[in-house]
Amino acid sequence: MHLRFVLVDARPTARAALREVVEEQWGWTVAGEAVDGFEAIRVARNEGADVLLVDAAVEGLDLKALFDLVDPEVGPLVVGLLDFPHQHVAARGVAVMKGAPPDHVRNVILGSLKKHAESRQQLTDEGDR
Amino acid sequence: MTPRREIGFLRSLLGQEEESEEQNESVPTRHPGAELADIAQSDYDDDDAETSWTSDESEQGVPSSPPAATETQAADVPGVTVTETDAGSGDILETASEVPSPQIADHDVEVPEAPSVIHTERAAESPFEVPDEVPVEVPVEVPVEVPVEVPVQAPAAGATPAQPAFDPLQTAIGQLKSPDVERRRDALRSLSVLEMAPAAFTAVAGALQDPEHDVRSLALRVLERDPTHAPLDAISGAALDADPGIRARAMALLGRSGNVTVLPSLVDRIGGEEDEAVVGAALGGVARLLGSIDPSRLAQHTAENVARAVAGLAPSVRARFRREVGLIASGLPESWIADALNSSDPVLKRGMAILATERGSGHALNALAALSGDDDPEVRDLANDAQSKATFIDTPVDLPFVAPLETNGFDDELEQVTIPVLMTALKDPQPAVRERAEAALRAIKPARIASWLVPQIAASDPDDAAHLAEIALRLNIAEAVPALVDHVLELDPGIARERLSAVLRGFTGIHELIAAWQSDTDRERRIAAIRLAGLVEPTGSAGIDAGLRDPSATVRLASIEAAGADPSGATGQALIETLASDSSTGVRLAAARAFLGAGREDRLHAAETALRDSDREVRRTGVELLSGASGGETSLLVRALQDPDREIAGRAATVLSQAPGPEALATLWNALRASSSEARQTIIEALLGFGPEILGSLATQAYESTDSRERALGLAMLVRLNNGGSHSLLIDSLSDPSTEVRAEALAAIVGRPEAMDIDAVGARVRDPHATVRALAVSALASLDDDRALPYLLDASHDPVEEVRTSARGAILERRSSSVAQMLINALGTPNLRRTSAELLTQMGDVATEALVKALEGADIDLKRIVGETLASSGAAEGLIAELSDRSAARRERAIDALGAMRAGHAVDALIGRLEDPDGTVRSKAAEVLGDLGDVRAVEPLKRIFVADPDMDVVAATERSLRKLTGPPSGGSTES
Repeated sequence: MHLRFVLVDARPTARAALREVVEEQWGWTVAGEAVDGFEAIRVARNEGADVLLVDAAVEGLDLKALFDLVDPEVGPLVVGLLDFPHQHVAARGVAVMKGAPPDHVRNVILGSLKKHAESRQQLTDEGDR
Repeated sequence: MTPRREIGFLRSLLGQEEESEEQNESVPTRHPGAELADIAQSDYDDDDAETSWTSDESEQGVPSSPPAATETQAADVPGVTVTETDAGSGDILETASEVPSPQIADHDVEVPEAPSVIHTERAAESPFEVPDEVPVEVPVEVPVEVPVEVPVQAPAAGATPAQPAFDPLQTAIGQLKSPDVERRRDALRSLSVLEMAPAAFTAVAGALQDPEHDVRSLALRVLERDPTHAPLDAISGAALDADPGIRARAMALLGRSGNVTVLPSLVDRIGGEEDEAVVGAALGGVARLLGSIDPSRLAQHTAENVARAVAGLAPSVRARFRREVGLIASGLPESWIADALNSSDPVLKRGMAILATERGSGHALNALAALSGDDDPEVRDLANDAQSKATFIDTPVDLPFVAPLETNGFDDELEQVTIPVLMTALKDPQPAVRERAEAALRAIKPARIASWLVPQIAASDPDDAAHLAEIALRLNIAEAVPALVDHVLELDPGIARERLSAVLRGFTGIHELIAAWQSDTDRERRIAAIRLAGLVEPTGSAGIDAGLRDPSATVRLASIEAAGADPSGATGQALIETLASDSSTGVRLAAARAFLGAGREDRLHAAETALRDSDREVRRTGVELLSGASGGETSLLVRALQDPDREIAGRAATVLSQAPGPEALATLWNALRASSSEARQTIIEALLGFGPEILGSLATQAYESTDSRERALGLAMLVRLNNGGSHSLLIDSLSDPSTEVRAEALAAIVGRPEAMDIDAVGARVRDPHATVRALAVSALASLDDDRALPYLLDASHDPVEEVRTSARGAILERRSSSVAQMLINALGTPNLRRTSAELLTQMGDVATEALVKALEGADIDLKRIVGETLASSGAAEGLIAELSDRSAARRERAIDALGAMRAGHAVDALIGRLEDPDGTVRSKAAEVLGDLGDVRAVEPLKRIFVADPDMDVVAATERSLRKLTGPPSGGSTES
């Protein structure tokens, strides 16, 4: 599965670091970058991204708003990158600590996508029936 | 068959002339005695009727009584002297031929010698009712049926005895003694119709003692058929009957007997009788007897007893039976009456005094008049009466008695008879009669004369009223003055009123009366005083002056009316003061009008005052007072030309123009110079009467003057003369250095599109003078040309409100999309922006459409202004509704307009448009929502942001979300 990512972080350096992980370590594509939630959605919709890697401190449309707005069954997967555990809002959405190993993060992403795909299939099967 | 007809039938059998119905007709009379005597001849039915002495039938106070006997009864009796006396004076008017009356000494039947004499008796107010002009024929022969004794023979043996012949008379007589009362009644009924022998009367007389009342009444009825044969003793006994009715009839019958010997009995009953009606019957009986007997057969002491009996009568009884007393007096020798007045017997003297009064003859009255100092007050009063009567008793003219009311109580007669007769006598051709009548009237209390006079005056026509007024004046009847005044005040001006007014002037105390009325609390009385003063004192002004100061406006108005048509002198001055200062407009107007018929000086003075009044009607009257014939009047008329009321100014101008000559022209032309523009037209109209040539010359000359006012005048006149003035003249005048000329020119241009040079006129909207600017606007407004709009728009923000209002009004009258567009275009001009926006706001839907359209491609400033204008015009609701329009373009335009209007209350509607099927509409809605800044739009925008398939919508949504959620600003990677 080849995934397309939008990196959402107000800091260019952070986005650069993330790009390196996504492209070099995971071998996936960075479709675009955004500094805030609004841009992230716009870029994600324009580029057809699969995953939004969102810094927890992003403004505009913040992580919580993104979790609320983006339907995981339809839209891209929003993955929050937390600095502190309390930044994970009510276990909604997918989030990982920034200090987590990249492989772990990769596995979380893949696992979430698989789960969402299974859910979509189930919904489709139910719809067919 | 009725008893009456029975009688007639029987008499016809006997060869007697049947009495006519009129002769036998019962005629009501006041003399009860005579009336009662004819019951036998009447339809009176004893069985059915009751002899009622308490009947309340009365004619003018006369006691009722059964139907009366006719005089024919008396005339039937030969030897009866029929006389007639005047009921009032007692003078003997006519005497029928006299035949010595036989002496009836006993009850034997005697056949009287009855010569055939025709008596023509005139009807009079006599108790013995004598029918009018009824010829009375005395029967020549009176056959008497003498009962024939039929010898009774013993019948032969074996022979049938002969039956005796039926005699109804004897049979009836025999039944008089029947124990059966009904038989006795029937017997008397029969006897009432049968021919009676004198002996029968004796038998019938016995029935007067019958225990049954109706039998006794029937017996009387029979006896009344022939009083001369009626046994006097029995009748005298009936005079004492228990029943008053029978007593009265008995007395009447005695009176008809013609036997003087019964006179004492009758006199005794006068004094001894309690029943008044019986007393009256006795008086009547006495009167009849005295009238029927030879006076030489009357004993003086009997006459004196009669007088005493009369004196003993109660005044009410005497009044009730005054006629009977009068006839008694007439039946007594006058010399006895006069002699007895000197008697020492007070009762006799009083009685004779009464009789003398009632007799009214000269000798008796003169004797009575000498007793004015008598001890007896009644005698004294009667003597005083006699004095007044005696003064005219010698005149050949009959005049009624005049008696003080207190003594005789004849109030009604005084006013109903005496005074009217005396008043009539005042017009008698004989001076002596007039003098007597006036003397008699003077003897009457003025109040009594006034009681008669007042209603007469009120009911009279003016001539009669004046005559009565003159009499009242002559007799000084002050009590009649108020009635006279009321009457004269009701009269229209004329001879009658003048005549009565002259009479009133002659009344002593009339001025005091006026003065008293002037201070009366009753307003109507004060008004009457003023009117009366005007009549009585036509040249006086005191009453009118006082009236003009009355607190009541109604009284003041009456005073003005009383002042007459030509007030002058003190009255005129008082009216001028009223005109100048009265609080009532109506009073001031009346005061002004009072001078319409006055002399020139007075009219001038009044006009001058009236023209200063605040009320237009008063000022108008002031103009009417002027004719322009004098310099003073002309000056006032010129002043009136400036009156704010056009009608008054016009009237003044008309009056001035009617005055002939160049002076009037000069006056009007000068007035034209001094007049206001409003009055100028009126004056010009008046000047037109002088002709176009003269006026044209004057106008041209004036227009060429160096004086600006003169040029304006000249222009105005030229305009009027040339039916609006020439085009070039007017346009050139627009540039005149004189404000007046420019204004005059513009005024002439208004409403005349053919004379309009739009630019030249339009330029005047920036004239330095507001009046000119206003006129320019009026002229442009009258023009139906859009080219005037820019000028009007220019004028719509004039510093002077009048100009602004006029210009704006003119613009708004042209509500159209083109005008709206012009205004929208003007929105871009800073100094016109606000005005244009205000006008657009007032233009309604037409402007809304243009404004919305103007938003397309508008810059921010224009959008803001248009938005504000739309908001001010209340277009929001319409635009919100347009959000549902079928056209996406209109929806988008509406969203745009709502955004420009900052229509916060449209947020919900705009949020709804985020789901519009048209992306452009969604984008616009997202954009406007972001502009409006209402955070309610955030969540909807977010949803659209993440879901809308149209990226333009997403972009617009992002922009709006960024606005709504605050900074940071767009630090995007693309920046």
